[in-house]
Formats: sequence, C-alpha cells, structure tokens
Amino acid sequence: METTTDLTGFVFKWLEECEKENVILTFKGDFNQELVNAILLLSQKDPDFRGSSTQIKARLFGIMVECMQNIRKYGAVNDTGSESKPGIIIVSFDGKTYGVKTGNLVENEKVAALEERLAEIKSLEKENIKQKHKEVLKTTRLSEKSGAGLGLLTIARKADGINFNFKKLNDRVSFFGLDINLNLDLN
Amino acid sequence: MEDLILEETIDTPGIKFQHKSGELEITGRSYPEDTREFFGPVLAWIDSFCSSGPENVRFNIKLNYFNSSSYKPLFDILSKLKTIQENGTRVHVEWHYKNGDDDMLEAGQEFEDLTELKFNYHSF
Repeated sequence: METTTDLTGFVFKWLEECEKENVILTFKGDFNQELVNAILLLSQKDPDFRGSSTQIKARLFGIMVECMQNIRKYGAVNDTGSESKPGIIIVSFDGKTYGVKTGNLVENEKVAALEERLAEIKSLEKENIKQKHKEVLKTTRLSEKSGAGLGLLTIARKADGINFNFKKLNDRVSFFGLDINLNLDLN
Repeated sequence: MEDLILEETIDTPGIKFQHKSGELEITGRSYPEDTREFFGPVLAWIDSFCSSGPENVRFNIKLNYFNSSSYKPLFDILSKLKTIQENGTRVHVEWHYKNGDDDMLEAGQEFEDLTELKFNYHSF
C-alpha cells in the first residue's frame, strides 16, 4: 500500500487553516447550476446562518448566487483541456462578520476592464453604489442586453466591503480573487 | 389563449398567468442558469396577452429572491403592462416582500420608480 503521508498532511493543513479562518463552508469545483443549488442549500443549514436576521440571510444568499454565477459565466477554463472552470468559494463567520471569498481564473484580456470596474466600485460610498446600481438598472430597462454589469454592483450593494486581486499565471489566464464582507450589524 | 402555469423549482419562479381573469402571479426564487431560456416563453405569453386587449390586470409579484439577470425580464413584463395601461387597461401591481427584507421592498420601489406604474406593497 502506498504511503499517504503527504495527502493527510495537506488535508490536515487545509482543515487547520479553515478552522483558524472560521470557515463554515467551502467548495472547490466547477460551479454548474446543480452545484450552486447544493451549496446554497448547505449554507442554509448552518446554525449561524439560521440564527441570522431575514435581511442578512437574504444578502448572504444573494451575494453567494452572484459570485457563483459570475464564475460560471465569466470564468476561464483551466489548462488541462477540459471544459471545467475551476473555482473556489469560502464562506466564513467570526461572530460579527460573514466573509465570502471566491477564486477563479479569468482570461488575461478581460483583466484590465474587470479591474477597472472593481476599483471604481470599491472607491464608491454605499449611497453612491446604490445610485450607480440604479443608473445601470435604468439602462438595463431600455437595452437589449440582460443586465450587463449588474452582478458586481448587486454584490457591492449588499456587502459592507469588497477587496480583490489578480495574479497573472501564464500568457492566457490570471487568478482572480474576490473578498466580500457582510456585517451582522445592519447599516 | 391558454393560461401559463409553471411550477416553482429551486431556482425558477412559479408562474400563474390567467388570461380570462387577468390575474398574473410570479412566486418563489428566480436565478435560472439561463435567464432567456426560462423567461422567453413567459414574455411571449405576456405579448399575446397584451395584444388581446385585457380590461383588468392584477400582477402579483411575490419573490423571495431574484438575481441580477432577472431584472431585465421583470422590467420587460412591467413595461408591457405600462404600455397597455396607457391604452386603457386597468393595471394593478402588488409587490409582496418577506417581512424584514427591506432590500426587497426597496427593489420594488425602484421598479415602481423606473416603470412609472403604481405599486401596492404587502409584507408576508
């Protein structure tokens, strides 16, 4: 029988990190709709989540949906030649704040535009995000397209803070990390 | 024309559109994987319904959640109702939101503002 020392070492480290970061749920995989639904169902079983207010529950649910559907829609495939778009979601809770972290690949050519949009959203106060969201809704109503650019604004509107970073991996793709906070205290 | 009845699923809303009474209802959650595929037939039904010249329409929107790509089809339905209202149809929009979900109430107020239809609000 082969030794599995390295594997258990990795699993142990991963579990230890998760415990340290107060992770309540994490998943790595291809975010097809069935998986999205399964993760949403699982998150709703969490005792902390069940104890949260209606408003917080609704916001966390909404943030998770937009994040996972974004990975599905705009993520890039990996280099193995498979169709799957690798993505990870990590939901944590420290008693005061929910954290939703996601990571996925994006094509390098899309990075600049995405980075610019995120930087703009990050620079806006909550009231201005609401205003901007409303402006995009207005154009959505009249346009042929279905809500282009609404997803990130929707996340920002529900959240109490977002951070992001990009890391170029090769000539084709970059890693895109998104970090969203949601405070239990409503503002 | 026939009524449009679609059972609610985990990620698509229940639809109960009754042409004779003009009672239209959308319930549940809306975050389909393919928004166009789901809402295509719904909007087609609304088009035929509006062309049939209904006298009264009551649109009950009772959603627990809808995602960002569901905004557009919801706007499209409301815009079509606004158009027939301008042509003489009595249109009532009833916006139901879960008690405590003020974001959902606000979403209704923004739809009301942007479509210029009058909404009535109910918490459940």
